[in-house]
Amino acid sequence: MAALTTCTFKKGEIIFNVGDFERCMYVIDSGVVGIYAFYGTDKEIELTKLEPKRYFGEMGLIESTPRSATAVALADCELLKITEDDFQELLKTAPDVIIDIYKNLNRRVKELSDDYIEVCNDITTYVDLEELYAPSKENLWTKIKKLIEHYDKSSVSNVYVDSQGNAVSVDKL
Amino acid sequence: MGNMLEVKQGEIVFCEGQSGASMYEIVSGKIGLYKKYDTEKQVEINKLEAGANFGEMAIIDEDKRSATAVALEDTKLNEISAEEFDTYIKENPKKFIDMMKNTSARLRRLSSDYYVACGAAKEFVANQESGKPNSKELMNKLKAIAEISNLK
Repeated sequence: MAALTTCTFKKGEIIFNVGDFERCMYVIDSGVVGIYAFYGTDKEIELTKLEPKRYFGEMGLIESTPRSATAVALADCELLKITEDDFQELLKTAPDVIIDIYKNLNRRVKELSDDYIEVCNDITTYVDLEELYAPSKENLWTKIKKLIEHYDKSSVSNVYVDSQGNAVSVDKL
Repeated sequence: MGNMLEVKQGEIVFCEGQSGASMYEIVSGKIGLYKKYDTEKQVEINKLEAGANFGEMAIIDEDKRSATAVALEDTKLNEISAEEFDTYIKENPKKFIDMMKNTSARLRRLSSDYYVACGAAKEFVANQESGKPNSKELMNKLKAIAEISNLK
């Protein structure tokens, strides 16, 4: 197949912004890429940091949807750009690469499903819905606070740190 | 490619919690996917028709089935084992792209649901701290979360 296009980005440069619409994904050849929610605001969260050989932006390519996070070059980067045509071509010439992407997506679904169920269970265990109407019990309050600490950690380490980093929808946080 | 199966209406293809290492393509008929099938808490997750695939999650690492699959009418299935999966995909690229889209969309929805749940918990705590009453919207979110939890 035709060689993939190489793109270079200087340290600090934005590769794409949340909401951008471009039908391609990237594989890191050299450098480091950071994936952020609320980039450049006081709510900024680093979702993941990706090193060479890792890829990102595949969900936007597969689903033709706008970017759900912002990607920033954290060092001078060389990225291989995989367009929709390249993707179709790869499916014919190197299907294992695409199958691997698919398997990773499924793994992330599985992991996130488990996390989600766990969070729902925790909330249900600690937040008695009857008590919500009279939420003054100190004991309950302490438990929930502990729970929230757990979420804060997991939302950074378990969920946001997915293998590609662009799968998040944080606007409802 | 694959192993042709016929299941009668009402027959179970696989049960939630069973281990499994194959996916299925619906050749004809209809399949329903359920959590807690045949209990008071039964929830229908999806209804699938000819051309659709199901059970592909277990292909990835021979994990337990996350739902029960039931034939809603007499149904013909093509069963594809984990060993056959890669070849199946190479022979059916269009179908594979659809499967990828579905998985990607599912991941996106799941992320969104997850953050709604975390957000509701945070809001609840903030209300506790400030003594602010919980909004009706928040209460509804927490109730929805409790229902999800009952699925497990």
